[in-house]
Amino acid sequence: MPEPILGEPLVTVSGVSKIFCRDLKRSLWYGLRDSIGDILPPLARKPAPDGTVTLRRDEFWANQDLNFEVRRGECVGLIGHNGAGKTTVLKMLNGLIKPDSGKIEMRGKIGALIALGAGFNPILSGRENIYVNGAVLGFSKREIDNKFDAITEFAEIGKFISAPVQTYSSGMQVRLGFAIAAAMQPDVLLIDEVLAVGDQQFRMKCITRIAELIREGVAVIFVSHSMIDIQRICTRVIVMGGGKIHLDGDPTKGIASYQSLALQRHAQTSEQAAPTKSGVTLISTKLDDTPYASDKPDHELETGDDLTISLTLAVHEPIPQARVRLYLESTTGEILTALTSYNPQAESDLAIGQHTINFHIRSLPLLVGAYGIGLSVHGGAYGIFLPQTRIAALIITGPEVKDSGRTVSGIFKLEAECEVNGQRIESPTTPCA
Amino acid sequence: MDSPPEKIPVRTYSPAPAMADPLNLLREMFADLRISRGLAWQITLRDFKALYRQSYAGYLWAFLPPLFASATFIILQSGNVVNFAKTDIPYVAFVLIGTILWQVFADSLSNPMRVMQSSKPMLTKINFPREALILSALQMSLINFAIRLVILIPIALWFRFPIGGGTLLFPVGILALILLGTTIGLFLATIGMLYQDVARGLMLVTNLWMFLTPVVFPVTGNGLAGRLMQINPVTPLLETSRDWFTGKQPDMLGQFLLITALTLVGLAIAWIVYRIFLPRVIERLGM
Repeated sequence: MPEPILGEPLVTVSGVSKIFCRDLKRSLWYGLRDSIGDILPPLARKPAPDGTVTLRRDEFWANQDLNFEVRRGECVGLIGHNGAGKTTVLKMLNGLIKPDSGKIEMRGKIGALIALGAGFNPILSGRENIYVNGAVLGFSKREIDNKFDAITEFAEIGKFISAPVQTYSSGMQVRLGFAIAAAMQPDVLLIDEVLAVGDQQFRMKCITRIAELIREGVAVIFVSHSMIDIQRICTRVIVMGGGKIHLDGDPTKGIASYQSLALQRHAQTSEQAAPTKSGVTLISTKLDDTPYASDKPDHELETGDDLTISLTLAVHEPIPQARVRLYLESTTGEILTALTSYNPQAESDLAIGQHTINFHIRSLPLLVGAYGIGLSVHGGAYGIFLPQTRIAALIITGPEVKDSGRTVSGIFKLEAECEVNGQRIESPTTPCA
Repeated sequence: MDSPPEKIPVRTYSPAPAMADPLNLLREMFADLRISRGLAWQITLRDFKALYRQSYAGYLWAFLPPLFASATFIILQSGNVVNFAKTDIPYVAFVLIGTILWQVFADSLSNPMRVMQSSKPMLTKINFPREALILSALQMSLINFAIRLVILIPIALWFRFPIGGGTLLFPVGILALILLGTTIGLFLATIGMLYQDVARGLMLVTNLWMFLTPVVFPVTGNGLAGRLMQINPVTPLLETSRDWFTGKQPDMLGQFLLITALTLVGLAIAWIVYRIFLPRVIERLGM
């Protein structure tokens, strides 16, 4: 299968680390010290002979030993939980802050959307702000004149262009900011999670514009929590965790790895906040006879596998008409489907004591990715004996769905075929077994 | 993709101290200064418009403070509440010119800090040539002076000051005042980004500083105040400018030239310090 041809590297990051400080007063003091060190090199902070830097009090690694490269025409999705160090990376790439060790090389004109409307003055009109923000991004007045109509049209600001920006909705500010940055024809485009504010329709418009830029040979680094957006435009994904690169590779694998990291964190936090006064406690969960433990949560399966989920519950008070519900969830918690133990025709009260409930799922239709399993227990008319809680995680590792170098994915498998000019071919969304 | 790409600018970011390669630093500084002119003007326009937009009196606010300050001292002096040494031009002219010249200095002292505050969200999120803020501070000081000419010109006509060589040199005096203010202001603004104490302290000090400068009364040779007045770097600049404006032979010309030369050296140092400090400051300011 022909892989897309990529250009020369525009972004080269080698061995880059960044240190931050937790305490503000101390942080300011270190800042002053380091600045003086920059001016008088003999006073600068010296790394040990082996190149390692020792942390001062209250300091921590915001980024540690990052190595990667982004080429022309590549769109790299940078994903990771809050505080994983994504924005710090973007700020270093943009030259806003200096790395504490390592080296970054950036080629060409850099466009950055780290915060939309950062240069907006609320009292001035949209028109005036376009000129200020355009100048900030390196445009001359004449260049902005030429692009003015395209910017206002893309931003869909209309007659509000003469109104002060403080009267704009946050969505309008985002639209205006993106429109200005998108007009600047950079070689490298850095995008932080700024699109999240816009509405769905505008986000699609931005994604389409970014895809155009990628085709024109721009190297894009895209930070987002929307796996949908990441999947739409990224050719590669870098997963960050705790300031380090956890994985660098194919988007589908990257997203699955990020999601399983997210599930681990979720499991850890929900364990700490265990419900104390509920009528039901979950004693054990088995996936295909393997006891499930939250510290080793990845139960790996492939699309089409069978799965048995076996639950042992301790019931502390009798539950009339008990309904044990099992949910299949996306990583963000949306319910994909639910199963129930309840049958209106059968006796279903649960007495005090231990009960084992098995769910057998035949031929899982889930595609590559990570998923959660949730549980809730209800009884009587409206009684909630156990509110919906995530109890386990699944990872579907294969088979991959490929379409000429690009991984095409989704949530579930459809049995389908496709005809091109009357000739029947296998549908690309149907995994080849 | 085997043909080498046409010349495309490369930027390298590493922890190496900028002063380790001073030549490269100077090259980058002047390159950034060149490309930041357009941006500086946009920032100046932005701040200038924003300054007067949400107000009815608008540009009047540019004249009112020096006029009121002068009025205060004219009233005090005429009522013999205070008794300053005799001035060689009419006291009203002395105070009005002094206050306006002082305002030129005080403005340029506070402008670097003001423009950095108003651009703080931009500074921490957008990488633009930082020199634009220095240029913008200078432009703002010049614009404010230009507005105040509206008071100065009628004063010159009313008191019939002679027009001659001094009139031509007067702008040099103004420029020296603005550069001195900007130099000190730039040093303070750089540290002021980290510590708010600087901004608060500056307000207190500026008020006291005015009375240690021959603004509303002439230099008095004796006592602590007189000695402080003589070592005050603003004194020769302000005195010389006022002498040029009123057609007098300046008697502090030597000090004027010395201070101006030192100012230019100081400005270069302040610029380097500003440029080197900023990335460090920005990382400490976080979001």
